[in-house]
Amino acid sequence: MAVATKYKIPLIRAGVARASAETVLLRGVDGTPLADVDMAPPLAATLTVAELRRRPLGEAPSPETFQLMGELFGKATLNGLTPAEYCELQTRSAGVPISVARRSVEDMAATCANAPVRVAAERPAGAVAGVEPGEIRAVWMRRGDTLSVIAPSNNPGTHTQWVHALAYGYQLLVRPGTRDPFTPSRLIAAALSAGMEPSRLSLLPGGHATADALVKAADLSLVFGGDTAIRRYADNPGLVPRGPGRSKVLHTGPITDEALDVICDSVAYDGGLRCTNASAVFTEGDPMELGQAIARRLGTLVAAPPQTSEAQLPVMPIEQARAMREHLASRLAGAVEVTAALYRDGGVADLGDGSAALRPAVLVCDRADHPGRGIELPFPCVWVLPWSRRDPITPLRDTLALSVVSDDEQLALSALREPSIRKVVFGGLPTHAAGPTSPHDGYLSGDLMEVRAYGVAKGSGGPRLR
Amino acid sequence: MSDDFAALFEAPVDATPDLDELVVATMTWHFSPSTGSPFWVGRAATLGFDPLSDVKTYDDLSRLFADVTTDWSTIPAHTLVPRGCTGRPGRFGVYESGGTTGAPKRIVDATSRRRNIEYQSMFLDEQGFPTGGQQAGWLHIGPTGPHIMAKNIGNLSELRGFLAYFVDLDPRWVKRCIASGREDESKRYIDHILDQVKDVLLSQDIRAISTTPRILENVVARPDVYEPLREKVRGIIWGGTSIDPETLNLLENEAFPEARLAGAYGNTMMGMAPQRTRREGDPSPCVFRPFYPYTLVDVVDPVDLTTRVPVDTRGVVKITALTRELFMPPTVERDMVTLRASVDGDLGAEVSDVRPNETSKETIIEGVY
Repeated sequence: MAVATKYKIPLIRAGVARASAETVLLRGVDGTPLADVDMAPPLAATLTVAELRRRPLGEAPSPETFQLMGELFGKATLNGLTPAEYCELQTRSAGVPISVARRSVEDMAATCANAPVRVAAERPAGAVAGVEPGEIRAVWMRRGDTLSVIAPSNNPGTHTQWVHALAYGYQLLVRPGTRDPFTPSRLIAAALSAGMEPSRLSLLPGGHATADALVKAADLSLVFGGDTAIRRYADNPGLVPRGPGRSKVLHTGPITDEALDVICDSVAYDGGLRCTNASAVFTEGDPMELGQAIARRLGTLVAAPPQTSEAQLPVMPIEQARAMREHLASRLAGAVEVTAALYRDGGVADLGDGSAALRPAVLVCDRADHPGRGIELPFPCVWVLPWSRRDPITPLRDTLALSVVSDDEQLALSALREPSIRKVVFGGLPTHAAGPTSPHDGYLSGDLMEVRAYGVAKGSGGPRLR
Repeated sequence: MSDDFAALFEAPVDATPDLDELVVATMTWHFSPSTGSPFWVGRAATLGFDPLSDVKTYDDLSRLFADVTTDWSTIPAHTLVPRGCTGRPGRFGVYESGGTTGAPKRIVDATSRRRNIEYQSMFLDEQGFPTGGQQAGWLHIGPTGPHIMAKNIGNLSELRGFLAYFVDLDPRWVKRCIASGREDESKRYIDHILDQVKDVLLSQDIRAISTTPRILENVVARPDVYEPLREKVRGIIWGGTSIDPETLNLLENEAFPEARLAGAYGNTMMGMAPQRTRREGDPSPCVFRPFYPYTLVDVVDPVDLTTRVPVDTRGVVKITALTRELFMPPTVERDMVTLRASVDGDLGAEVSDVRPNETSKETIIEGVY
């Protein structure tokens, strides 16, 4: 497919594209130059937030705007890129298999269109849209006006989260992940083309210092990152953290094909790059037997350049892929890698162009408190650990998504009572399964919105809230 | 109080003495027992060549001193004062380098650096930088204490008719906070500095400031400091650390549109290289011109430190100081720069895009983000 080998991603301040004197050449995982990205230094972030504060903020965008935004994202040529061209660039840069990018394009259209429905579902039942004279009622208000998003590059779908913030009426400032400025750039282009108020949309590519300045300046900040990145902002009162998911599967009963379907789908869907991909499986059975069965299945996933349709695994520059495997080797702590025997040339699949795919890794542990239960890596990498009913919940803590593969729904319900487990699915659903209004890590509105009281005396009444 | 060397060492700052003549004068002054410093006169015996007879040109100097290593952090500073300076005007002081990466280096200076500041002020005149009319205030927000910066700013503000005010910033403490992961502490320190800046701004007639780009960025993020600064200040000198071209663009055109900004690249060892006034077609928004020939800047290959890089190429700086009060043989500093062609004929190197020479190391982050 023909794509431009060089493309420019401008930074966007309050809806207006601006060039920067500082640009970075973004290369594909194989080293091919893909795009020049205009960089926003920290001062650009500070000045942009200051500029937003000087502007009056109107009402949240209409449902029709989100509908149109989704359609445009899915079908239109935006920033000079057709959807297919966007997918190829995103894929080559982030190393995510192109099938993921293609599916994301469709998901994103649906997510945008669904945003108003979702927001309506999140709104507390007691909060009203307007207060009549003579009433004192609950109203649902934003906790601030500006939201910075320190975005990752792992999966285009991650960006759906901040679409909801637009629906609450926030002004967004997105610091894209280094390897995927394409997705937020396209989403913002779709929103602007759909007629959204320009001040609601800023794209500020930059490094740590830019992220720091954004988090400092914005009212609230949605920060995606590893534990270190999240700790970096821990004392910021407006922090909404999105750390590693550490999603898990709990398996009881026999090792059936159906159970393996759910487990392997949970681990490797979308290349294993989602925070809802399982990184640990707890089993009541024999971890070695289950681990070997998982390995036999995952071992067949195809290593190929990300822009090819057969690709099923994440790809990165080869030295980075090797470093990733070395890191894994340093974290084994006695765990046995049962996938190793399946690969003639090791866990790093050299694609011959300077890049490499990371083959799945299945690591069998002999105890439930093995540190592997908390280690999440950006490829299909799963730790299989023993589990027993004597202490059923402790090992399952700190989990974004838990799939209970069992015939005992009581187990799922006990897990649901543990607050650090943010989603439980039962009876054969993979960890990444989600409903149109089910929360991802609580509702984002739980952090960004709150109810306040508003009362109007009889015979009075100013402008109505919407 | 002139002597045979005055035409070279104390030439008018807009004149350019012949480099090789200055080299010979420097060797004669610093290595003759009657005028040289105890340090260099003592060192002459072990050099393996005779600086008085063997060094006739800058190339001789570069070649012969290439293997002479000098640990500026341990030399007793009083032994650096040339004997010939006794009785000459000016009082010597000891000045230390940043000291953020290891033990600080020390130099001595009485009046030589003031000449460098006169040279800087000449460029500021050309660039329309304000003068103070003996009334207005100049606020320096940066290193004072052992650093030569305070003396430089004292001289610069005096030359331009300002009263000098200071808010001290200890770079070593900031570096230590960051190195030990106490970023919250460095943030509190910056706020402590900005509180003091605000106090001076609100109570005094401040029209010019000198500070680092980082402080300027932090000022913009503090509306209570930014508003009065933007309103009052018409001249800003930035230096001490690097700045990327986009931040410079934003500072000049958006954050402080009514102030004249001028960069200054320098450190304790090399002196001050002011920003050269912009010309059409400049290769970079900010080109620095060292005080040639008293400060010589060679830009060399970071791996092979004896090879000079071609014009428009990046390399590390190698500094030589040739003044009456200090001789510093070619010394490699930590900065990476781009060498630029001198636009006004043979006036030594011009440099741009200064960045610290740091190697970055990628670490594995656990988690899909």
